[in-house]
Amino acid sequence: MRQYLIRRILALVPVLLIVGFVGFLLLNLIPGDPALVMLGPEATLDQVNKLRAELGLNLPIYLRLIYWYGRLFRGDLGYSIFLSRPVFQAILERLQPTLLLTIFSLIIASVIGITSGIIAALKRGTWIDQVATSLSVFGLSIPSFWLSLILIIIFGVWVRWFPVAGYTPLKDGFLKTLRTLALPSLTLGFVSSAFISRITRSSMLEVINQDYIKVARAKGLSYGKVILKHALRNAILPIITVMGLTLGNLLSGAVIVETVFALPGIGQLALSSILRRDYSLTQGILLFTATVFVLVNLLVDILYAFLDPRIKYD
Amino acid sequence: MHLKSEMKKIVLSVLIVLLIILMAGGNAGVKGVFKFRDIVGHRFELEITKLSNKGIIEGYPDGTFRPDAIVKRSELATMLVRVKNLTPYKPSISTFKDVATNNWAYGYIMAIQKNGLMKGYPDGTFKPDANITRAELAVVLGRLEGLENEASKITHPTITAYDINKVPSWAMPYVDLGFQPQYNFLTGRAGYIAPQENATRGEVAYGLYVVINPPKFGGTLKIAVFTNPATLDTHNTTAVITADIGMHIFETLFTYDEKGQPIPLLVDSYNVSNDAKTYTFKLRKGIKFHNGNEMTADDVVASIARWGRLSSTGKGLFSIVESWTALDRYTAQMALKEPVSIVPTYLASELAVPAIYPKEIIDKVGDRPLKSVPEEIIGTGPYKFVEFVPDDHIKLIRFEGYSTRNDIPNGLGGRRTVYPDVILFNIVPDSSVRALGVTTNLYDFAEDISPDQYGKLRIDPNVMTSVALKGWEASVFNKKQGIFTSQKMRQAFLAALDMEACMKGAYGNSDFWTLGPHLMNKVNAYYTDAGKEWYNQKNIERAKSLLAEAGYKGEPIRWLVSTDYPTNYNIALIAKDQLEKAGFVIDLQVVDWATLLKRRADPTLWDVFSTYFTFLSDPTFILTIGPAYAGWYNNPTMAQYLSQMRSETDFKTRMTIWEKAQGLFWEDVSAIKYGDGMILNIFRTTIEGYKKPPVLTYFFWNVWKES
Amino acid sequence: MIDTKKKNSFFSRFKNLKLVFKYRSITIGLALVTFLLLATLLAPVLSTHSPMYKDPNNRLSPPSREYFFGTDNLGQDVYSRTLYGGRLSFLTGFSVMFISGVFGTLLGLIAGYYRRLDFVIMRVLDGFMAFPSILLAIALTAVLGGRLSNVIIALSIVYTPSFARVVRSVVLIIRETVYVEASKSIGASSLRIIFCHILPNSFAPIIVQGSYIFAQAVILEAALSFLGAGVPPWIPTWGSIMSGGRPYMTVAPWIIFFPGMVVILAVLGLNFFGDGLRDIFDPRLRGVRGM
Repeated sequence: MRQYLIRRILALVPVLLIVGFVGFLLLNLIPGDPALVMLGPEATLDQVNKLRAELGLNLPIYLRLIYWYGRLFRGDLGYSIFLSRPVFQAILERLQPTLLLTIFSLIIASVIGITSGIIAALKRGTWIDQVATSLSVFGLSIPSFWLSLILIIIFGVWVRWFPVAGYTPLKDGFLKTLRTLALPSLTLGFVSSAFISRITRSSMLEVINQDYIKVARAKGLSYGKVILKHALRNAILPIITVMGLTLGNLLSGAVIVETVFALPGIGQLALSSILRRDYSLTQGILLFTATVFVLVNLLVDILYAFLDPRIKYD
Repeated sequence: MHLKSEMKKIVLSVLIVLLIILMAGGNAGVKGVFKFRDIVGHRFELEITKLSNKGIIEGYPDGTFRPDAIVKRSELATMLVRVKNLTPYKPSISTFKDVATNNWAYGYIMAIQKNGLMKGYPDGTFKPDANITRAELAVVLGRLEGLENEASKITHPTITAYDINKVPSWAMPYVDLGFQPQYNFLTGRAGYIAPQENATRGEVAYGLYVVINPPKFGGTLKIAVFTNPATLDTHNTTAVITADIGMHIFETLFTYDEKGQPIPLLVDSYNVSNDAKTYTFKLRKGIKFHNGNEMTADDVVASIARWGRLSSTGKGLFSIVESWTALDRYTAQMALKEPVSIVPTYLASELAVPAIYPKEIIDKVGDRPLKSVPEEIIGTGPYKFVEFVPDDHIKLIRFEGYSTRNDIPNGLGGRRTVYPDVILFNIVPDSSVRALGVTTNLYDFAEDISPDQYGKLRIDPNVMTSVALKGWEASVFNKKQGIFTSQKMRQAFLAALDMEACMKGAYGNSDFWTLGPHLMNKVNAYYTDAGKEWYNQKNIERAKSLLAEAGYKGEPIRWLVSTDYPTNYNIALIAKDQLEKAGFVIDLQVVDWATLLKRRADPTLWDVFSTYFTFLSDPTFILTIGPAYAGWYNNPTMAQYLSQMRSETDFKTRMTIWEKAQGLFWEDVSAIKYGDGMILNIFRTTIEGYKKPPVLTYFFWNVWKES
Repeated sequence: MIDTKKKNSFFSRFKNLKLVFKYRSITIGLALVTFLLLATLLAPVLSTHSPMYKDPNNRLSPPSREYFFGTDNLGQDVYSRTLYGGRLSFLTGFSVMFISGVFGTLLGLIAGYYRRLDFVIMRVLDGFMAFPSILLAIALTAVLGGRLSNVIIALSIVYTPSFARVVRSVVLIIRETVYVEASKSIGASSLRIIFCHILPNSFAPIIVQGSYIFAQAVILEAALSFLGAGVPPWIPTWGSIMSGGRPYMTVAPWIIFFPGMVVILAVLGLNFFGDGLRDIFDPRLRGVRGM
């Protein structure tokens, strides 16, 4: 177990190095002079040279790489030209909406996904199963931006239950924040629930057919107890893995949903940074989200190991 | 086992039902609300509508209100009775010689007389069919508000107006009170009080409404704007949004009145020499900047000089400025090399606004743009800058130390009262989200809504629409380098275009666009249709032959356009099709506006770009006929026309020159004009006092929120 | 209730009624996809107007006999544009599937078979998969330039890792089978083993994964175009048509509705197809999707 954990944490290092490297590639893949592209042809020579020095563009490539990793190690994610502040600060300022959106979406996705997965597994073969599986395939097939727009049309024009755009920060009231996040979380949650639902269903099916379940039933335990205590506990492992993976999808979906619903989060910031050629900001956000993703999956793996020491990871 | 396909069928049919609902939903609207036919866009549309909803005023059977018709005393009596909810009083004998007991207004007149709001004349008449004058209206409204006590304390007026001396003494106190910010029930007529003129139905409606619902101080005004301002430094940008927001923070020496003419703002008075070559400006005293320091002539001289270096309009003026100095603490003098009749118009300029900054800031910053931080954005305006969070909002708060003028509000000039505590300009790039935000009460005001929403929004009871002339849609050629240095190429481009298709495609609703070769708008004195033979040719064949003459070999034409301005973009798409039919090869480059601005500074990067121009007050300001603007237009004949106009004071002569110049514009085609476009702004009916500005998009002083 | 206990015998599956389900799934999926594919290929025949034809007098009109899906703000026929747009969307999806399939399979084979390279390759792939797919796609497209070819390259880079993962897991399983052991013992070279034994047995999961990637690529391309980060906005793809309809969504929802429904149908078809295929070939892989 301890060995497993150590190996997992050690595996983190190369992954983070790769993440950093991809981030590095991004800026250096730009055809032409990155500094000129970011500042535009109207920039003075002074400004361009200053930016080149900051980005270390005058150094040979291997030195640039070392310099780059050095900055990352210190947590310096760069400086945003458009926002005139360090990238890390810009990210922190925009963190709240994205964080809350991700959490609520994950909750909704898990609740819908796990419940429908369990029901589908239990009622396997019946029309309930068909409905559930079809709905989940449907959910996998819907573009999140389309669903967002349809919801905006419905809730903006007909049923005015939720605001269709904008964000109320927590300090202005939790309930208001909840309302502004309702539609975005529902969209993302529904779309992400599909995957969770399918994995839950198949995982449950695997477990239900095992002997120990039949033994438990034979012993006289109620159906419900059997499901919740025994079946679910054993089926939960792949589900948790999937929830970790879902986080990646949620971050991806957040870009779209934040843009459509005008939420001032990191996803929308990333998109506008690209459209504005503020590539330092783009880089910083990419690195940040990738690192978060890697760390969360590490946590998931650790959780996995705690929940089932029998599983040997390859 | 057909269940899975059954399932699909069910899902699909649900979706089809949804589809049908959506189709219907697209046309379903809120329950329509009745609005009089003839008050759309009227100055008092909001107050008339609200007062009519309360049942206090009525229209005519034909659905009109006739807001500019005059009001009879009997009519006013009726309205007052309804306002005060009195019961009509019909004693058997009339108090008035000329009001019979069977007069339709008898009960109302008697009731109001009993109440004391309106009195008869000393000769025992009431004169029910006489018109009520504005002075009389002021008195009635003042009494209605219960201001007799206040009025008795007023000995001389605190307000000024062009005709303040014509106000009769018995009405003076009430007139004065009527223009005070806390009562605000009177409106001026382009700076005139016009006390002996007849009051109009609209003015009466406004007055009654404001007396019933007096203005309130406080609250936050939330405005939805369409983009981030690239900078708040108005000197070196012609971006409308910078001017729109900047006008709340900064002030200029002159500004525009209701008629679009320049009137003094920071200037107290000024003197022009007989040869129109020397202007001496006396500044108002005691005007504070947001940092507490007083504004002096040094600040004014430094600011205007900077504007003269950085803006194209300014450069145009300063090319003939001999000297510009401060004579003393409150006096500045401009000496010109040639006579210029329109210096105040220059100093009121709404594009690249000549705002007054503190000299210390200018010394510190030099010619680089001001940073959007409170330490650098300091003006004398009624609102103070607090913060700019990019992509989110700009926050301004009321400037408590603001020195307002005393003359009655007149367009952008006159007294400026700030009612809200805070203004938030929220940056919402998506126009349907801006519109939805107003209908769902997220925002109080939203600019630039798609004209396609107009029909639905007009009948929404919570929303007021305001349609204003936006400007003219244009494409500007790069005449310094590249393919459009050739006049034939430019003419070929022009020949192929069908302006009607372009404008219709971009704006839709015909209420929102018009055609015409005029570069000065229809209400301007300099309106002309010179050059109309070149405009809207729709002639593909001619274009083809011009292309051949020009020797065009199919080189791709690099066309910059930004989706930040959807009308520009849509027109470009439609025009592209038309031009391609004539044989042009178009390389449409769609970028964001900031990138467009950067790229168009480099003549090697583009051939034509799209934009729109607002209509200005004087032909010499038109950007694209001068060399200082993007496109590098350099035509000696045009330059000559412009300098002649600048120094000429006689209107007829100027007009003749202008007609020739506009004709030359079309023949030489430095730029293309497609047509005039309107802009649709909307706001909630809880926003009161809002008036359309004579220039630019909106302004939020003398505006309050109903609580 | 279907008897699911007899799952050990390979042939017994075919007697199972469940198989009929899976066949149904595949047929429906295939039918949908083929139908839409044919429709888009036959766009010149099936469309009622040129996709670039503009009729400003009929802008923003609801669906009618002349314009089946209504018109957009420039008076362009949404139906015809959807047909033509499908070509680009399908082309993108297919190319991405193919390219990421080829590279992903190669990487997966190598990683699955060669233990030592496995560690390195997997960490690199983990690194790529750590980035949110849409951000990576947009960033790559922005850096390379907004052309269709670059969109395809960007999306292929995004999806290669997940392909590789799936192939790798399959290889890991197959590697332990009797066939491979036998081959090794008679001295077959690694390359031969990989390409003659492992690869053919991996086709099934590769095709299954391919159909999923195709589906995801179509959605991601639509999202990219919708956000304005893909091909130039006047070129019709399903995403760009919907993007153009966004300012008018409250007055003309059909511009968004119809192309969106078509995307859903196409992706639905691909997913049904993939599911059915997967269920037939190996239920053990039900949990393995590599996304």
